Amino acid sequence: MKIAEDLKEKLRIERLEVAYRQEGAIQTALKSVDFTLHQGEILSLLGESGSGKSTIAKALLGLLSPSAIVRSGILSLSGQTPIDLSQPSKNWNGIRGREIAMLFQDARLALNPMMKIRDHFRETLLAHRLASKEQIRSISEQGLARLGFSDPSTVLNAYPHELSGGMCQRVCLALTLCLRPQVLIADEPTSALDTVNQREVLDLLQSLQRELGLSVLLITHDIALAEALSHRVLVLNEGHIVESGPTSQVLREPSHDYTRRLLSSRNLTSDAEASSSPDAASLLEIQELVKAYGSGRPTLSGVSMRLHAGEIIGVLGQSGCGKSTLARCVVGLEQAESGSIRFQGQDITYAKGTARRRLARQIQLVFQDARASLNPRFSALELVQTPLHTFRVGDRKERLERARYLLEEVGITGAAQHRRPPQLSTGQCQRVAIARALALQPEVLICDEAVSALDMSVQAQILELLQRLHRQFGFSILMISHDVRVLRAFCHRIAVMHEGRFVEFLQGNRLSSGEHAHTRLLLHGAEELESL
Amino acid sequence: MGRRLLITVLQMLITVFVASLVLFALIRLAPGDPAKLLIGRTMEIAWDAAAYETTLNELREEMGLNGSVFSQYVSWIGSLLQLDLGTSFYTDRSVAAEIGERLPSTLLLAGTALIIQTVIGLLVGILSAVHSGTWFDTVVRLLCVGLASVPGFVIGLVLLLVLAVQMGVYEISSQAALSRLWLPALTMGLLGAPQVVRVVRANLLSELGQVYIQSALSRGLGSTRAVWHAMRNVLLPTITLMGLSFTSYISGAVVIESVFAWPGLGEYALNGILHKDYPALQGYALVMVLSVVVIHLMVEALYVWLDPRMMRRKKEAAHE
Repeated sequence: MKIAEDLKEKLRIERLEVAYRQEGAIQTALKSVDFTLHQGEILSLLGESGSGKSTIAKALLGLLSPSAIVRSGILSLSGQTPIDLSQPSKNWNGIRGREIAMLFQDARLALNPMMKIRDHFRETLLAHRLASKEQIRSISEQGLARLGFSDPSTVLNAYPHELSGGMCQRVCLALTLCLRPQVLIADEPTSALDTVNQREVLDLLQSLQRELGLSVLLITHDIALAEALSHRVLVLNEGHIVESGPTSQVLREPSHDYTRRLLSSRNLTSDAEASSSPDAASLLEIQELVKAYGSGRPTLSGVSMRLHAGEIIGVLGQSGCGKSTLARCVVGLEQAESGSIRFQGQDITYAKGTARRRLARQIQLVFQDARASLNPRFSALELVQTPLHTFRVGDRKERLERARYLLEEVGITGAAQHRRPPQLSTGQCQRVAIARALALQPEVLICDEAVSALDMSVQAQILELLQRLHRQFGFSILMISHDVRVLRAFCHRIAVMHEGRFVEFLQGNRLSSGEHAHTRLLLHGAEELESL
Repeated sequence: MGRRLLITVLQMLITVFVASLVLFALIRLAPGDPAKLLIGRTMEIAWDAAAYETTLNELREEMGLNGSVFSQYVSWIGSLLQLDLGTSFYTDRSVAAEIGERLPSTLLLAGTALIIQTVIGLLVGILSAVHSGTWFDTVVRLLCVGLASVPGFVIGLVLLLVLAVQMGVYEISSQAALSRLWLPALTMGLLGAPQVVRVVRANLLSELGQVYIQSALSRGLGSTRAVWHAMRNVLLPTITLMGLSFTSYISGAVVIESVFAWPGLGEYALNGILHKDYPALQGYALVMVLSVVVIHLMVEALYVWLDPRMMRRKKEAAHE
C-alpha cells in the first residue's frame, strides 16, 4: 500500500510519558513516545499486550485510569491549540467524539447493556447538538445503513445483547461516525471476532476510511491485519517505539531485533506429521451427540468423532458453531440429549457422581480465559496442587514437589510460582492453567480456544509448550479453535464444524484440500487476512 | 408469559402452604400451655384439683387444643379458607380484625423507612463512589461501620432521649399518627442506609470501570451522563437489597416498634408470644410469610421489567 507522505499532518503526539501506580510501586508504561498521524492515512500501532499500546489510545482521549500518571505529553491536532496532557482536568469537550473517536476491542462491552441502540444514538447526537429530536431517527438509520445493516429500524430497537459481536462493532462504528470525527482510534477492533465477521468489519472500516478521508490509528497485535490495512506502521515494545516507517518496509525488511522476533513468531513451526499415530487404539469415541438449548436448531446435531491415544485433533469452526458445547459435554459440564461419548470403551455420556469425578483424572479442560479460570486468591503453586489435593495424590511434600516440577516444566520458575493470577501475565496464567490440567496426568487434554486470547509470540510459545509436553507425556489433545493458522501447525487431523455438525475431516497438513463449502469459506477468510 | 405467571403463583402458594405448616407445628412445639396461662389469670383460686382439671379441659375444648396437632391444623386451614384466622385467646377478638388494624401502621412505618433508607443510601453512595478515596469517602465509610455496629434500640433510645425528652420536638404517645411517624422511620432508615451506601458505592465503582463508560466518554458524553449510564446497571442489585430490607422491616420491626410504642404488628407478635396466643401468632406468621413472598415476587417482576436481558435469557443461552 502506498505511503501518503505528501498529506498534511492531522495529529501529533510528543514526548508522551505515562506511568502507573501499582501497589505502592510506580511502573513506567510509556517512555517518550512521539509520532504523527497524517490526514487520511491508516497508521498501525503494532505491539504485544503490555507494550503500552492501549495506554496511548486512552491518553489521546484523556481516558486513562486514575492510577495513571502522565509525566509529559503534548497532543497537537491540526488547527487547534496543543494540549498539555500532563495537566489535569482539561476540557475535552469538542475533542472527544468530534475530533477523535474511538472503537473498542469488545464492542458488546462498549455498549450499555441496559440501553437500546436507539438510545445510544439519541444521547450521543443530542450531547453534541448535532440533531433535533425529529432528525435523530433518520440520522441513526442512515448511519446504520451505511454500515451494511439492511434493516436499521430493527437494530435501533434492539439491546446490545441481542446483536452479535460483529454487529455490535458495526453499530459502534456507526455511532462514532455520526459525529463526523477526523481521527479514529481503533483499539483491536476485530480481535474479539471470528474470521468471517472480522473480514466484514475490516472491509467496512477500510472503505469508510477512504470515503470519509479519516485518519485512523489502528492498534493491534495482529501483524497480518497491520499489513493488510495500514500505510505506515509503528512497532511498540515496552513503552518504546522501536521502529516506524512504511508498512511494506517495516514488515519486509525489519531493522530492529524486536520486530524480527515478532515477525518470526507468525510462522508457527509444525512437527505434527512426525508424531502422528493413527493406528493407536481409540481413546475417546463420540457418536451422534445431540445437544439443544430450548427450542430451535440444536447446538450440536449429531456429532461423531474418534480420538486416538496420542493424537491431536483440531476442531475448527466459527463462534457459535457448537465447538465449546462439544467440549463441555465431554467433560460433563453439559448433558447431551442423545448420542454417546465413550472413553476407553466405557460409556461416559451420563456419568455422574464418583464416576464423573474419576473421569476428571483422565480428561482435563483448559479454558480460553485462563485468568478467569484460576481462583484469584491462590498462588500458582497452590493452584497446581488443588487437583492433587482433591484426589489425595501423595502427601503434602510430594504434592508440593510435583507442583514445583510441573510449573518449572511450563516455564513458571522462581518467585513467579508464588504469585497469584492478578499478578501474572495472561500468558503466564495460561501456563499455570496447563500445569494444573496436567497435574493428574490426564489421558485427554481439551483446549478450548486456549491460545486465542494471547499475543502472537506468546501463542507460539504456548503451542510449542503444548507440543513439547505432548511428546513428553503422550496424552491426546482435542484442540478447539477458530484460528486456521493455529490448528494447521498443531494438529494431526482437523474436524471442521458448522452449525452443530462436522462437515469434514482433514489431515492437518492437507487442510487446503478441504472441499466442503464452509471449509473453503473459513480458509478463504484466513488467507485473505494473511495475504492481503 | 401467562404460563410463567401461573407457575410463579403456584410456587408462591406452595411456599406459603409449607411455611404455614412448619410454623404451625413450631408454635405448638414450644413448651407451655396457653389454657393454663389463661386459667391462671381468670380463676384466682384453684384449690380444688379436680375442678381445676375439669375447667382446664373445658377451656382446652373451647380453644380447640384437644385434638392432635394435625387435626388442629386441618381445622385451622378450614377456617382460613373462609378467611377466618380464628379468635385471639387473650383479647377474645378476631385475629383478622386485629391484624387488619395493625398492618397498615407497620406497612406505613416500613415503607417510610425504606424510602428514607434508599434516598440516603443512593445519595451518599453515589457521592462517595464519585469522590472515592477522598476524605468524604473515608468519613462515610467510618459512619457506615459505626451505624452498622450499634444495636438498633440504642440508636432509637438515644434519638428519643435527645429529640423527645431534651429538645421536645417529638411527642411520645401510643397513637399511630403521622406526626409520630418520622422518628421511628428515620431510626430504621438510618440503620438500613449503610448497607445501601455500600452496595451502591461498590457497584457504581465497578460499573464506572467498565468499557461502556469509557466508550460513552469517548463519544463526548459528560461525566454526569456517564454516572447515569452506570446507575442503570447499579439499580438491579440495589432493588434486591431494597426487597430484603423491606421484608426485614415488616417482620423485624418488633424492637423499634416497642421502643417508640408504635402500635404495629411487631408489638402484636410480642404480646402473642407472651400469652402463648396461638391464633394470633399463626395469623401473624401467615401474614409475614405472605408479605415476604409477595415482596420477592415484586422484586422479580421489577427485574424482568428493568433488565432487558432477563426476558430473553433462554434464547441467549441457545446461542452458545
